[in-house]
Amino acid sequence: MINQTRNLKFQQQSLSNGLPELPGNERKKLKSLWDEARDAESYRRRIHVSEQETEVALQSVHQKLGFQNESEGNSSGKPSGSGNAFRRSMYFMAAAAAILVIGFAWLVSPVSTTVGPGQTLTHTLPDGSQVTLNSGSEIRYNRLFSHTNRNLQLNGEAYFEVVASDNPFVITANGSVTEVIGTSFNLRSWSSDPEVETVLSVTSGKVSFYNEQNPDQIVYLEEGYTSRVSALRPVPSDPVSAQLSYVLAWKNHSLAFSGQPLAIIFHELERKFDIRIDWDQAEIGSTRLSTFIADPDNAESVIADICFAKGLTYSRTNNGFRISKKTDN
Amino acid sequence: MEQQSSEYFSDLLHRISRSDKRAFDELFRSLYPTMVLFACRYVHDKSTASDVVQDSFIKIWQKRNSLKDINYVKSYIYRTVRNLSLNYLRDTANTETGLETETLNVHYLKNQQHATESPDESDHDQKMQNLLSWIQKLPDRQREAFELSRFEGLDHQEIAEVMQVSARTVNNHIVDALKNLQSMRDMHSKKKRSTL
Repeated sequence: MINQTRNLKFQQQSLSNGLPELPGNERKKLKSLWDEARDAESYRRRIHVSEQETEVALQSVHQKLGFQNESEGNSSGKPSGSGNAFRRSMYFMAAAAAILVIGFAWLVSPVSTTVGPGQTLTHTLPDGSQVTLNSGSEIRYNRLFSHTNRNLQLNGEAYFEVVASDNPFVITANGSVTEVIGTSFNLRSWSSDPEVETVLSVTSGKVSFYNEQNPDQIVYLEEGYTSRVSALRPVPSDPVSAQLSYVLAWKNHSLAFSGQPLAIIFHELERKFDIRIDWDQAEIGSTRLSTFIADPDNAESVIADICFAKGLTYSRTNNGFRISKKTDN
Repeated sequence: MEQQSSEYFSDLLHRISRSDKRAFDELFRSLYPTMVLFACRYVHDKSTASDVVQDSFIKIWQKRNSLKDINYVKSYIYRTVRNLSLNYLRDTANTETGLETETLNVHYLKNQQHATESPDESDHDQKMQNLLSWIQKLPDRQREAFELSRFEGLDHQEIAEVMQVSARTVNNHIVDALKNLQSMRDMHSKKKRSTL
């Protein structure tokens, strides 16, 4: 009984504004903190769930529950024998027409998956293939993906594990085309990198790779090989053996570079740690570096290491770091 | 979820209990985004949260025969998502902790940076950032009760149903959370004063 009146009291309180029952002596302080906290939520990292994502998720739930024949399942919540048959059929036709229009708009609108700075994400495509996206990357495809085509656009870096199917799996990334049947590989193609180069590294199976402008000059790659293509390179480079542990380091949250310019390395750090990195002279950006850093826990330690190795110095800015050359005095 | 009345949801659940697939779709469409955001409070990444929420809805459908007895609809849905999130964390405790501490550190670092870079802390943004990072440092149950009450807008009885404790315990958790936040704030301003 006591418990019940208490509960009633709680409910009445929460009807006002959810304010908890506060101890008398600190009431004022705690209440102002409670009021302030209301705004804090809007500073949380925004995660947006679009209507399209909701639909795709619902489809996959239907599949797992074994709901068969979508439209039938939808319209027959429970069978009923009564009702005017004519009105029902008109209703059905109007609904069908509406579904057709909406359905078409829906089909042609692309599905896009992006991953924010500082995160990686593994996403299962409608055909069952898996793609792991590195920080800041984006893929897009349309809703016919896995039905009439397996075409996909990438900006960024991703590791693909493609399930075998008669439909070729085709990735377009900043002018490069990668075409496979069923295999796994890493594809890196940042529109923000200096030469907008696309680098393909194959971990299993066989992959064809070419420049969009030049679809006749195909390079075939096998397991353990890498090739690159860019606007300046109409034909992909001859396959050379890949340092796969370096190429795939990002999947284990590590950083690995083999002779890349610092400009590219800094971009990578910006995406991984959600910071801004500036540097004084162009010369700094073109300095090359090879290093492997296993699972670093903050940006500063990485920056400090790089600066130490290359005789540079850094300072903090309000959203990241500024890199300068060491002055000789 | 706040905009729609609880009658609306109990009606939907009632229909689902009679195997109405359309009601299930309706419930899914109206709650999926909210629930993904909610699951992110536990699992911290969107794709895992999406999986957890999809599994929760699958569970709701599979258990539809026992839905009739449910009094607190909102709590039931929250509880399902919460329990599956916690299960996920328990099952992946070894593989996931590395990632989590990493993201936490980055946040922490960012906040520290701000703290040292901008002496003008009357800045509202900064205050809110600090508050958010302190909420992350609260003990799990306190943080949970606090977030459900302050941010998800559940009342104490609903939270009690979600966390499977008494409403009194919920209130204690929230008050303790506020006290902890208060002392973290005091410590912060003391430290700031001593560095000036």
